[in-house]
Amino acid sequence: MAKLFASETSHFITNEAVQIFGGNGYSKEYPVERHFRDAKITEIYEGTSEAQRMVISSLELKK
Amino acid sequence: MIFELNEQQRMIRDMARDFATREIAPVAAHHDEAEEFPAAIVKKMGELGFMGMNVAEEFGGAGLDSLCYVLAMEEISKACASSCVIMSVNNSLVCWPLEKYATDEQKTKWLTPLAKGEKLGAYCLSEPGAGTDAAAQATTARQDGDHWIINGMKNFITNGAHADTLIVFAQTNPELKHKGIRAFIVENTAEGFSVIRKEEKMGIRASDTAQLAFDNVKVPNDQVLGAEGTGFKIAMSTLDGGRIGIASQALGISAAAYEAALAYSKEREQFGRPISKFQAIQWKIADMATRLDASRLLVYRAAWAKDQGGRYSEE
Amino acid sequence: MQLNENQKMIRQMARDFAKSKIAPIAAEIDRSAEFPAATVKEMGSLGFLGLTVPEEFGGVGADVTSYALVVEEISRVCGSHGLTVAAHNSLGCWPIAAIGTQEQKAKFLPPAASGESLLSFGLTEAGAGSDAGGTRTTAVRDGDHWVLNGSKMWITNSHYAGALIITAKTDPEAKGSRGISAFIVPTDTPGFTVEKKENKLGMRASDTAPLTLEDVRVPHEYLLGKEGEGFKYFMMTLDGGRISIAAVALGLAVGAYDVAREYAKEREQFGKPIAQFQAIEFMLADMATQIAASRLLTYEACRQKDAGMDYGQMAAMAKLHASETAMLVTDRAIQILGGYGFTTEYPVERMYRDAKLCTIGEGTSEIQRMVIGRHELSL
Repeated sequence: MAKLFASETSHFITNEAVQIFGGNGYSKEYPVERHFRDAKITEIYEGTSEAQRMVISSLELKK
Repeated sequence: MIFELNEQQRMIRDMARDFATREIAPVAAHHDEAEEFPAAIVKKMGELGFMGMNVAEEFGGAGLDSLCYVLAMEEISKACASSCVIMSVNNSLVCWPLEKYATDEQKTKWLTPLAKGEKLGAYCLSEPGAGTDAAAQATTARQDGDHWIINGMKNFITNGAHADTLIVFAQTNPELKHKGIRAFIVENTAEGFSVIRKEEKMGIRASDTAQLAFDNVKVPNDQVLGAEGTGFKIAMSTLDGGRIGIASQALGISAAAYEAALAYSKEREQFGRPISKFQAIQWKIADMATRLDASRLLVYRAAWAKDQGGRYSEE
Repeated sequence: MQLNENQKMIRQMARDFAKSKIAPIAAEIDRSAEFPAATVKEMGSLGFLGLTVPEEFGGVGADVTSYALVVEEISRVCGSHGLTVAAHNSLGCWPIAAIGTQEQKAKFLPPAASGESLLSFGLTEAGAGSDAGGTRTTAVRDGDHWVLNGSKMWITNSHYAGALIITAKTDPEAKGSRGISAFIVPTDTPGFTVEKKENKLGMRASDTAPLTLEDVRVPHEYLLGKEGEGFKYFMMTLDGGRISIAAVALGLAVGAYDVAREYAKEREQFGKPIAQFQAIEFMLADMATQIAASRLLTYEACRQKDAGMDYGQMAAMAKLHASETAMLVTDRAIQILGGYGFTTEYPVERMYRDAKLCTIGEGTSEIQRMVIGRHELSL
């Protein structure tokens, strides 16, 4: 749950941060551009978000 | 659950924040652009005790709880997500299974230098045909007298090109399916081990992600980790902890982007006033802050659950 | 929504060119951030750089729908090429063709349509992004000339442009968006400097640079339209620009979707293609549905513009929906490809970075919502 939610949140927040910065957010002059690129991998490695959902739902369904 | 940080946790967080702000943040953009492994930073993280945070002191670790680890990771990630994942893999995916499953002799020999940060570790589970379906291991290991012989290919291995010590999963008996998988401790100097290539990636570009080949790599019998039939269990239980690491990394990225956006929204003026005065931006800030806090609470809860010693896969 | 023969033919031509000439270089020019001068020039000879320019000025005289189809097909393989063509046609050629005098059209359109040199629009300034009324660049009348001073940023095609349309304040007393005029400024005019290009997240091979204007003298004949009407012209131009960005976003989404769908059918995990898992199947369904909606909104905005209707709201809707869809679809494509999607081995991570421009350029998503909301509330 922590991994699923935190990674999808980092995607959401970095995307919104670039949006708030507007054109400046699209430039390598500001760090949010790097945060935006870095965030995406957290939804993939050590189990994709889909794999996390498999884990969570299988444990929930056993209850 | 108690979320009031204790003295030690606050101290670790402040130490990590101070280190990240002073030493990592100024060079993060450079390492990213140049795809350069931050060797000097990794070395210093070792000296600070960040490479084996939860490992017992007798094996070179800092002997701290999971929440300390999460707090430090969050701070490192705020400055540089690449440095954070290098740390996460060493702590969660390498030190942890060694401490949990290795014999005392193995711990002294392999875990101690990793926990001290003198050596770097990597965790080799993924293969071209085994991603989410990790049990579909095509890498094989067969015993031959006093050693095992490993053959196969691993990919998307974080730290793969820089690691000294690798935990490698391989199938010993395909008929047993996932119960035939075992874990091995492999040195990067072993003959037949090679780094085929490094991936060029969109992000975390300063952390290396490598494809590795194992061509008749000989591993002595005393470098088998855990009992027969337990490899897949080791892999999965390790990933539970790894996920806390990645969750902390994601949390740090979120916090950094949020803080930057919050500050910018108060400075940037359009239509004669700071954009933070517009409801569209206020709503964004509200949603970002809410999800950031929820992330933080979920990540801290998972760390807390892990420290309680029960199952924490779902958290 | 039925395309006519002419539109189908132009689309096929663009698709063939994109596949054979642009797709093979797209990854490399993204990495090196190198402007693809050769392929852009070649697009000139195919007519892609003067699609809606009248034939008497060297253009193709095609309708807006045909233009959007070309931008979509090119963006399907490379966002940078798509953006270059889009900015040139809609921000550069269109205002001159729509507002310019016969002399201005005869002078500036033929070399632009042939691909000899590009055109674009210079509005944005450091303090004037979404708020275009904050323009600080000035133009002062001096006999039969105007003298321009100021700076611009985020100007597409700058290093390769023969001329740029520049907005400047001509009435310092006027407040906000009033008192702004538009000028066609040849880029070789003394005092006009194109600075070092930006290092960007995506659209890396498209040329984006700041401009500096220091006592740039342009003849009065280069004033575009009427004095003091510059902001109005810009808003008109931007309506068309939004169709362009919608088409770029649509192309990026389709390109990423194609890759993801094929991968999902081939990649096996747990003994079967991942497309057979409901999680992936539903993702593909959502992606396809959002793309279909983007396409219909974009083509409808084109149709309204071709019919001479007030298409501003539809263009904003198309831009908002298509760009948000491009983000969703390219993101889901990376997710379906897993670790492979995060590497440069596959094009989806590039498309994801390129797509982000579409939610920012020519008015952020937030500005589109303002435009749409104000139309709805008749403000």
